[in-house]
Amino acid sequence: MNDRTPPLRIVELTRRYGELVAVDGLSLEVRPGEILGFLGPNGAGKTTTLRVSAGLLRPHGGDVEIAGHSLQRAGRRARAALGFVPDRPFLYERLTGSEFLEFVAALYDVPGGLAGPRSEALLERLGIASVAGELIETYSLGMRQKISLAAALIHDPPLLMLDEPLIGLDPLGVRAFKDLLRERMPRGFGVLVSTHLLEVAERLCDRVAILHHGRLVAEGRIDELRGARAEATLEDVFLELTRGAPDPGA
Amino acid sequence: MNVAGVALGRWRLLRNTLSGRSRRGPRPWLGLVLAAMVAAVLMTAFQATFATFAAGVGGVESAASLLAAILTAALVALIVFDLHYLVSAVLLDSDLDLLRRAPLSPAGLLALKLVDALPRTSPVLVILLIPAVVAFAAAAPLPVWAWALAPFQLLAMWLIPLALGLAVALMVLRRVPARRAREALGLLSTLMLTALWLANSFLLPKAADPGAWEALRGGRVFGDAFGLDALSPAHWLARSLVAAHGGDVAGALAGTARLAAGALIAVGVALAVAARDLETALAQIGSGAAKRGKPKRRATASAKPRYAVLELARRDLRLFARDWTVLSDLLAAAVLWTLLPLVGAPLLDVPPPVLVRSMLTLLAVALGYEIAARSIPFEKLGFAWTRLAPLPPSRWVIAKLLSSAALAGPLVALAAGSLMLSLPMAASEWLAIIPGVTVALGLSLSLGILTGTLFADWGWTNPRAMLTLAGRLVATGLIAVQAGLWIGLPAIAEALEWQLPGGFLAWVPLAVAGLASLTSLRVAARRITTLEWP
Repeated sequence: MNDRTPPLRIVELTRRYGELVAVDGLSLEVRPGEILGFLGPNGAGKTTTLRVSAGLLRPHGGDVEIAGHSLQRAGRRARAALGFVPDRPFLYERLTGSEFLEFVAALYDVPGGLAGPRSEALLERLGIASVAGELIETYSLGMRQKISLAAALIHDPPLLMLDEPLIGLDPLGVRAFKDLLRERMPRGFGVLVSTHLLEVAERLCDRVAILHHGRLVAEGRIDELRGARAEATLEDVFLELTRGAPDPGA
Repeated sequence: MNVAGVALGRWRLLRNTLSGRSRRGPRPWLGLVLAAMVAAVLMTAFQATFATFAAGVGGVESAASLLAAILTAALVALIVFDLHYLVSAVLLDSDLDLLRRAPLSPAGLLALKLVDALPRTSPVLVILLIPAVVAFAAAAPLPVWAWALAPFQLLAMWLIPLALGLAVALMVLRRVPARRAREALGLLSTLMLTALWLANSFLLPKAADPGAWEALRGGRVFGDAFGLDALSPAHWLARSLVAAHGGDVAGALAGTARLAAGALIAVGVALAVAARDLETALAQIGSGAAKRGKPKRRATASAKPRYAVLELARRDLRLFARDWTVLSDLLAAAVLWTLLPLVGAPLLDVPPPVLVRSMLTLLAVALGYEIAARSIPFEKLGFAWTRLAPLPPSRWVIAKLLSSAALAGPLVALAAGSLMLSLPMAASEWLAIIPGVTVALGLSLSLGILTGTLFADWGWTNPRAMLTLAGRLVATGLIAVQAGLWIGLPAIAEALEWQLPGGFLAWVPLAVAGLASLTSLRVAARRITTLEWP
């Protein structure tokens, strides 16, 4: 991946569940060094988009490129370039936090000499080093979210995709999370973060994309979306865009 | 509680599950089709047997004796195979938090969960109870009015063992320490399996005794065998059907009334126990979930080089070793499968080498299901890493084979060691047995991995039901077929003195098993690439 390669490029992505078109010809790009907020009402297709982009669901049309590698044609390279934090973390209840990170590091072929220090640093930064030797089944919701984030970062991927990552995090955790994301930006890495928390998107994201009924209804910097109404909040813009748009499936 | 509204909600839940509208659920239609096929086969067999009995000296009475025996077996099967579903539904279902917050009495909650559990606990009803009654009616035709009683009789047969079993389970769980309650639930099914096996080991020799069959055919068992006539719901139902066949309305109604009274008492006992113990048991389960012991391990990752396949295998071994309910279930099953041929041995006068070969082969075949198939759903949502991580599916499958072999190998070796001590045989005899067992193990583990990837139930709560119903039926069929091929074929070849080319029985099974193993693993790898995680 060179400096100009977008960490994520989604082209004409379509995914259906039976008759329901969950994602309808969606095209989207996360630029190098950018945090893109992915917004939309419940059922808009955000989680489906993220899961198709992570390879957890098969697309019915279109393609996803991660760091320049097509998920369809070069799936392993694309996956190696992705860190994914799902809404329900994929954890092993009966591994300890550090064993889990060790396991994920091995999956992503992180050299032993690098994985150890990186794992320790992540656990420390996220404030869960003291429980790293305990079984994950004893973790609280926030701790699970943190260990899931650490697992997504252990191989230092160019793209991070996060599905509602702030659920259950305490203020310290939220701060550590934001710092970890921001530190990656100067290296040209990208983040796609799906969230319902509009104020978080407003503060954290460089641009936002708003999805409604599986289609992109707006994309751009928040001041661009506000247009002439400088006093409008992201919430105002969001509600305006998602209230009025007709349901193509209706 | 608005009973009509709640009933409508539960009906919609059932309809959506059965119609496959759920995105994540297993494929229920496959289980239903397989269950229907097994039911059809059993019904045909029952019908022929009932007809033979009815035409014999004992007449319809002897057919009814056999029906009572089959229905008794069905009652035991309900407790062994299905009680844990009901207990899981009452104590572990995902909607329990919602239901507990609703203004429902414990008895109301229990009633709702009994209805919820009906589809999950219906296999024995569909596979054994209904075919037996229908087949009996084909041999001893029933009047139309008797068919109107049948649904109530069958419902009672279903309710009596499950409601009583649930009451006992609730009483036990109330007394188990909170941090052990969830494990105790898992252990329940293992104990039931062990109980079934022990009962089987006592009954099998009796079944092979010609005298027992003669007694059954003569109809003598119907009235007095085991003194069950007055106490057993199976005998009440059989008596009611015989009365209906003879046009005796009062007799048929009396049998049905006994069943109805039995069901009412069983449900009453369950409701009373639930009113007293359900909240405590639920609290035990809830508070015990996240309070297991913490192993004292280093908090930092090691700097040693890691190989993904070995790391995957190591993780599997850790997961098994730390889940003592699954591990104890696995060990119990391993012992029972090994000992199974021993039960029939006195009847057939089997020489030691054949007995040892049968015991080890059956263990090897069974471990394909017990370890390899279950190791896949055992990971639950963690298996989604197969789609996230940049590893080819073939490496996941190889890792699964390695970890399964690492668990199964020592168990087979332990069994072989124990048999070496208890049944002295020549070294040459052992050398003839071990390669065959090793090949059988390789094939069964490969088939197990395939079965696991095809039929995993990712939301399992009970260690003996990690596969869907269809998966468990397929796994049982595979065990039977493999056992038949590995144990039965050589025995038949020997008995019939087949003239086979030299080395035929050594090399052909090896080649066939190797090919079948590779094919299974390739299909499993392909299946992994098509698994979806919505």
